[in-house]
Amino acid sequence: MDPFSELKAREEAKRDRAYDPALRWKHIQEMITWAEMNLPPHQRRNRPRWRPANANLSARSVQGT
Amino acid sequence: MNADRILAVFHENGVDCILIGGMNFLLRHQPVLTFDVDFWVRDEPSNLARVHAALRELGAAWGSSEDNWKPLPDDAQWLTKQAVFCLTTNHGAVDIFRSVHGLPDYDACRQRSTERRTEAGTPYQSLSDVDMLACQMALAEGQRRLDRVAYLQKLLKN
Repeated sequence: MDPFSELKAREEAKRDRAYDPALRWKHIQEMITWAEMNLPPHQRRNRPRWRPANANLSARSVQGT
Repeated sequence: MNADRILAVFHENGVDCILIGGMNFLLRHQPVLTFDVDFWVRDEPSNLARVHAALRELGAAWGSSEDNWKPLPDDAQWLTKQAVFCLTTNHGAVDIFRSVHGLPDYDACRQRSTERRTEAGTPYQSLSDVDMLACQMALAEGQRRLDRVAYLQKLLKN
């Protein structure tokens, strides 16, 4: 491994050890939600909220409950 | 992770930087597993001071070892010690690159980059596909993200 990649790997490993596990778990969960919201349109799952016609509807009314 | 908050604070502090890595690929193309925000920052003292200010605002912590992991000091001197830093912040993990393997010229990459916005409207400067591929190809074969390489090669061929 070249020196730059070695430094990067060392930095990542050090951060992993220093990261508070509970905070890290929270950040991972938030990241998954954020990533889903920010995927390019062609990669998004087919959900009611992505339909422009549903933009102003609440989740409850979309689900018909 | 509140990635929008991280991107917004860097923008509000006037940091000259380009979003690279998995998050940039995710925002441009397709889902990849990524849990940090990678910034390539212009390596000049005045800009490093802005990077430092942004990181402090985000509640960042770093240490030369995990034993002395602590909130950032008052001055930006620590940022000159090495080429890359992996930090924790109150809003998620952040990587700061003062240089990037395979991309020798920040200005040229900055020119090829584009300003984009997240779904929430937060602006960021996005590394181009050409430079993302160059970055991957500069890595040793075993370290390359093969799915990204194949995707970018196909995209740039068409």
